[in-house]
Amino acid sequence: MPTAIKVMVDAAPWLLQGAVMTLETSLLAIALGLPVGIALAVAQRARLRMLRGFVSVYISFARGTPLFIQIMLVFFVLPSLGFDIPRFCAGVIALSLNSGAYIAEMIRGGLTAIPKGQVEAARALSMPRSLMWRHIILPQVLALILPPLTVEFTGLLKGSALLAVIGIVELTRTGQQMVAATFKPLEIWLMVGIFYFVMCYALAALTRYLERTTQVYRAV
Amino acid sequence: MSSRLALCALLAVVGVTGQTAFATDLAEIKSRGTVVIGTEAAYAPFEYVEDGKIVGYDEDILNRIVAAWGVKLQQFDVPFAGILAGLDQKKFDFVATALIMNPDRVVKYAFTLPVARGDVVFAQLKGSHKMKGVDDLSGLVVGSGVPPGGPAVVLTHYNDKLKESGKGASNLLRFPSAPETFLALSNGQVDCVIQTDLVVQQAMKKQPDTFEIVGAVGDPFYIGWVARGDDTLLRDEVSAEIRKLRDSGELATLQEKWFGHRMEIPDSGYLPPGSK
Repeated sequence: MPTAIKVMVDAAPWLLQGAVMTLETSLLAIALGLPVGIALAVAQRARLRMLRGFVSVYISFARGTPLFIQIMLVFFVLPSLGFDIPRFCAGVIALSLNSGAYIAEMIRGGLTAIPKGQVEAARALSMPRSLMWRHIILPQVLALILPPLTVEFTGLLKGSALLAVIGIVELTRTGQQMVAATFKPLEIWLMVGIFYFVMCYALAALTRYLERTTQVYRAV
Repeated sequence: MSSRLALCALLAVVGVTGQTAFATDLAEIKSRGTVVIGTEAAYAPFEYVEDGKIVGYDEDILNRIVAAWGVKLQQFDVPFAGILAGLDQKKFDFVATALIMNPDRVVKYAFTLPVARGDVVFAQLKGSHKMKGVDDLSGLVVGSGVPPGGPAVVLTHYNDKLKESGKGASNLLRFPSAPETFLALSNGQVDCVIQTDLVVQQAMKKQPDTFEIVGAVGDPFYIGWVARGDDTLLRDEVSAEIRKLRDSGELATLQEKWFGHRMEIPDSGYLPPGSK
């Protein structure tokens, strides 16, 4: 058994490098995916029918196709249409576009919890829609959907493993490299699992903290 | 605000990681000053990562070629699933990773001069006696990589042939890579595995006294690198460098270093008719 532990300990510094790449891509994708999700959710309620149609097609596509395919599409197909994107960017864009669709759906769910009276009151005061979203709806909805958002963010972090296919050497790919070099799959994959767990646990702890500090918005 | 920060960070990273580039011949690569290579660095001893760097037999050859050309090397480690797609979409100039010249590949991609020659072999646990010979797989569970990996494809065809005489395997189990296949062999999940002899020898080196080779299947095969099917000019320029290394004896030295034996690299006849 000590040799197994030695294999794991030796692998740790290299896996840490992969984990940093996983964190970079995932955190950027979260930071970009959230505004994308909010924009989609707002667009879903827009007066323009075409915009609503576009959003619903977009969400169906993002939800109905594997993330793997979406990553391949962004990296391999967009260049043939004239958009040449570096791999890191393509990866982050694919993750955020995918995540945005899921977040939009969570927001849509959260909206049902906002009493209609609040929207009517805002209209009665002829408050502009942008103000209404910013000051009335979004603070409440975002606080409300923090638990499912945690699920989405941890899912995204683990889904970022698929970025290896376009040449981003993140945690899972680093694991594959180490397995190939050491011929010790069991020990390496266990260590990779521990790294993912720690990152996801930290992310979940952060959102639990946010849940506590946003209690004030959860009057509904 | 957080989104703006993220966008800035993203743009900064874009600036660092740079562009995608591809060339159709050496002149283009030289004028750019950098050659862009795709490698699946998870196939010891051909190419794998050690201490954070890609090393291996192919890597030694590649470094010599890049030095001869006087250009910089930009190399990406891409899993097998993305490597030929990446080549098609012009993400690399060519692919420097061990690829078996099988009939499906040679019509689509331009193979270089071979860098290695090997056999597809069956291996089992030392002294297990489960497998009597390569021509009888009946009642056995056979482990292999996932098609379109070379040995995995050989196994499919070979087993279909054996089935006609009732000597086919009872079950074929596929694994993501060679180390997992050998783990399954150690665990008893499979009775034997099929791999190239060059990789089996690597496994035997990593775990001494554990595995044994039962025998080879079919003809020996050649391993080379590939360029896009249309880029035969670039392919010829890479082949010319490999030929130089062969003729100077350097290739044989590298073969001794990584495989412990020498291989004969022919000038022609290694590709089936109809190849690029």
